[in-house]
Amino acid sequence: MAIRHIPGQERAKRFLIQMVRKSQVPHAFLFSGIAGAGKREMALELAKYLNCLDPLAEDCCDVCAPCKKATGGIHPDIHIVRSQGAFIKVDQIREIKERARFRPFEARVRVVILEEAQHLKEEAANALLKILEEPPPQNLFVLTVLEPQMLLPTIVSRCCHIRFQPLDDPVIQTFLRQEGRLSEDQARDWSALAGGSLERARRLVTGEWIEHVGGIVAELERLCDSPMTDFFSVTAQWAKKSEDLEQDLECIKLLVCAFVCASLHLPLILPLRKDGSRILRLALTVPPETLFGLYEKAEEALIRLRFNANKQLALEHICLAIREGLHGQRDRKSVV
Amino acid sequence: MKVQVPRALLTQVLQKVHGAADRKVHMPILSNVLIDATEPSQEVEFTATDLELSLWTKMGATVEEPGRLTVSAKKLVEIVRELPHELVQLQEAPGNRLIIMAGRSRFELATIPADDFPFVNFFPGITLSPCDPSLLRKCLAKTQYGIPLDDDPFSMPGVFCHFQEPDAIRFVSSDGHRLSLYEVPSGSFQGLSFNGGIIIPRKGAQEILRILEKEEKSESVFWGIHENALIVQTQDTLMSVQLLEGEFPEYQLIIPEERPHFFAVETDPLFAALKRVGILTDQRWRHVRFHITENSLELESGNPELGQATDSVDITYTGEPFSIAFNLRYVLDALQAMESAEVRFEWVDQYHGGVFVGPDDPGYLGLIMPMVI
Repeated sequence: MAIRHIPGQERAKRFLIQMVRKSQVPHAFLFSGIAGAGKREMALELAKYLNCLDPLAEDCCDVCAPCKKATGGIHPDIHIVRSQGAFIKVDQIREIKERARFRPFEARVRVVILEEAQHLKEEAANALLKILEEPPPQNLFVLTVLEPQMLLPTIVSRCCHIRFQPLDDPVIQTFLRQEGRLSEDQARDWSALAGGSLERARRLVTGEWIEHVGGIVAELERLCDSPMTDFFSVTAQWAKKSEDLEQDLECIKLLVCAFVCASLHLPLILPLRKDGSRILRLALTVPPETLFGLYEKAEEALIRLRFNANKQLALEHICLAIREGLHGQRDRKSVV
Repeated sequence: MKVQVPRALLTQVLQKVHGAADRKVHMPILSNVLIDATEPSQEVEFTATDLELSLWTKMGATVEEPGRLTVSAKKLVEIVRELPHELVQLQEAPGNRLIIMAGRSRFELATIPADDFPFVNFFPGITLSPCDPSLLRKCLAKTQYGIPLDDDPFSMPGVFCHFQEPDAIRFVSSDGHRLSLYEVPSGSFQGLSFNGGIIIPRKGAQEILRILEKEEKSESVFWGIHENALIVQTQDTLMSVQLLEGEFPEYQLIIPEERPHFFAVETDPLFAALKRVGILTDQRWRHVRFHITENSLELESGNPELGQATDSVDITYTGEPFSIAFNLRYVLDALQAMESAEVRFEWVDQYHGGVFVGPDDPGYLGLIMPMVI
């Protein structure tokens, strides 16, 4: 892979290439944008371009030894820091600090990529800030994050911020078709649901999410049917047992999106059709405005969850909104 | 690759190399040693690196098939050390395996392709200057105890080496609580040149000491500095140490220029007395108090829970009584590094660092900051 192979993000590519060509690379970049927009890939390709032995005019060669080592994840001067468990720990940052005391081993520039930097623990963030305040020469830090607000403002202010836009649907379609032998219609359907994220589109294609949506539909139907007294215990259980609540909320969003499509008589995405059960029929009875409102609420719940909102409250909020939206508010009083 | 090597020599070589391999697991290949067998020269080369320190060495062998591969340094040295037979065969096998055979023993180790190994540069084109191994060993051994163990933003974890006006080279280390300094005439290291100074990291200093352990002849040891690497070459070994980036603290400021008070004492009795009173020290109560009176030094240590220890040694001192406390471990380290039958302890007051020097060991200075008890 090379910079030219990264889908979309033309503006970011132009900006980065210009910086490298003019030798004006700062000591730290902050790549922000939705998951699956290509931030991590861009960080790695930038590291390759900076250290390529035989660079092309606007890209790395992808065949020299450093490029191959970087692609294989064995380059001694390209460090990728990922969260261990839920957080990026202070020891990981200390290790980077130790390395930064020395010059790069074989590269021109040592590149440290901090993936999902929003997972930095407070002490780790402070340790990183210390490094960014006095950046060691020949070191480049690339932080990827969903939203810059998720980081300490002092870290953000010390980085060159590049925002990654959600990918255009045609870009996703092209990549899906190249990768998965999909028909044009299928690729269009999936890209429409992916919301600008190639990663999400790939998960949709593999069916991983569609299966998950089936489970979510069952869970929501149970919630709509159960009396209010049971509603909160069911959501509490759901929030507790869910391995990835963010993914659950993404699926709820996807489902509400399907309701909107159905309500507006737009073509329904094929695998969702078989789930077009009671809840979908119910959704068809309410005005599209209500469904749009539900979509906004689902998105809001997702954003709040990313900003460390209480998991159970976030789930209750959206489930209650769906229940009320589909059944009406009187339903709240029902006990049996 | 297929080679036959004598076990004793292979053990010796691997023990030398495996110290350079990384013990951490963040990059598995760094815990491996690169083995490169070349047929025309009938030699096997070994390279290991942890990115801060790289070591290359070679040995003669019967090379039947040349080849390159990397294998776990620790496991290989453990295996070879235990082998019963005097001749060891190393043979590459399909599926990224290395077969080690000796007598009726057979081991199969997983390998990583040699192309994945970091590119280790020993800068073959640079000119190295001859170096007196015993002097370099002395310079590092006398100063390495002062290198800080913990990550401390105010000190540098290495030995600082710099030219000192008018005509000296100084090796200095300090962890903020103590400082060790050794000065030699600049002519001792002919041909050595660098700007400002260099900082040799802890592991680098330790490994240089290790490879120079058996080197006595100055004709076979060379060293030089290129960019930010220190290269040390012995007869069959090349070592590259990445120097620390950054500035060493202005250490001269804490060495009192004028030290009006001093006493002299024999090293061995003082060292023995310190060790005795040290029995009652622990992690929390680690001080020794010097009560200095005319011709007598009383040492006092201990803690309220365990008990107290006192001892005294004869000194040569005429002056006002004075009392000062130090970390006992630091005093022992400073005395241990000194090669002098007599120690001279010099001080200004109870707030400035106390200085240990030896009349028979010119150039050495150990400074310890006093403790407030």
